[in-house]
Amino acid sequence: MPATSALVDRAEDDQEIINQVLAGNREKFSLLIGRYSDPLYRHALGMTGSPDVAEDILQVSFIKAYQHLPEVRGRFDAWVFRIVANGCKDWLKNIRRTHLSYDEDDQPSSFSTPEEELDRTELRSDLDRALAALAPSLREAFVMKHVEGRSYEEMADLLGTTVGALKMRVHRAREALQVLLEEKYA
Amino acid sequence: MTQHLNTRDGDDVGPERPRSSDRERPFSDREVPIEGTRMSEVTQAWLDGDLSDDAVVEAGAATRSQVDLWRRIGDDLAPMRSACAPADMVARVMGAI
Repeated sequence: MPATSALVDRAEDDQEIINQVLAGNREKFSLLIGRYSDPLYRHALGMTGSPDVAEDILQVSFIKAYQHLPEVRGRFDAWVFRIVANGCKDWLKNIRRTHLSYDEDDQPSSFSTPEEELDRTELRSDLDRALAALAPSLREAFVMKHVEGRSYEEMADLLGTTVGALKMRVHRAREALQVLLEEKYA
Repeated sequence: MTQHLNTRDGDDVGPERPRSSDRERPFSDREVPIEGTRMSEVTQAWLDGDLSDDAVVEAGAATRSQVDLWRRIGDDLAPMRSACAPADMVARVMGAI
């Protein structure tokens, strides 16, 4: 995670880019997309389980961000994160999935036998279903912690809530996942 | 648009109650009630990366099979941790604005 001074430098740099975009240099917006698209994509992928949906949410979110750029107050990265996060939660509200379409074929296998590979695929499928069964706020906290690798402090900063509240959500998500998976796998 | 720029769930840390219609809904279409299921603080600390696998087992906070389960879950999430946005994302957005 970047140090605090680096975050401040980046925020000031982001604001300078925003000022240039608002002054008419539209192409500068591509710098912000390039800077933040990977972590935002990982969030959307963790929240939806679908690369296609994650791409769509990311694209729509950056377009919204561009259209509302004059409204940015404070850190751009936190502001655009909330646009993506809310897009993911809106999607989850509209579509409660029975099976996530995370593309298993894209992932390299480190298992040596067909039996291990089959077990691996089965766990992935069950994990996808278990994640889909979580309340969106619990899934969000779990993904930010275990997929994005963020600290509780960073999560609290991005979501505008407390470290304690986020620890509670992560803990509850873990408990729920363990309940759903341990009978079969533990 | 305004609602997309603000977080909306800062006050939902209390126990989540299953909705009345949950019983009629399939497993994959409902939030998970976890009442009565508590994971120890030691296990949570281990999952936060603050303790070793052996330490959590020796403390009696988790069984070896639970440790293995979480290790496998971690392995399963690994591809997502290194996922990158499509290379043409910049072009797609810039072409749309």
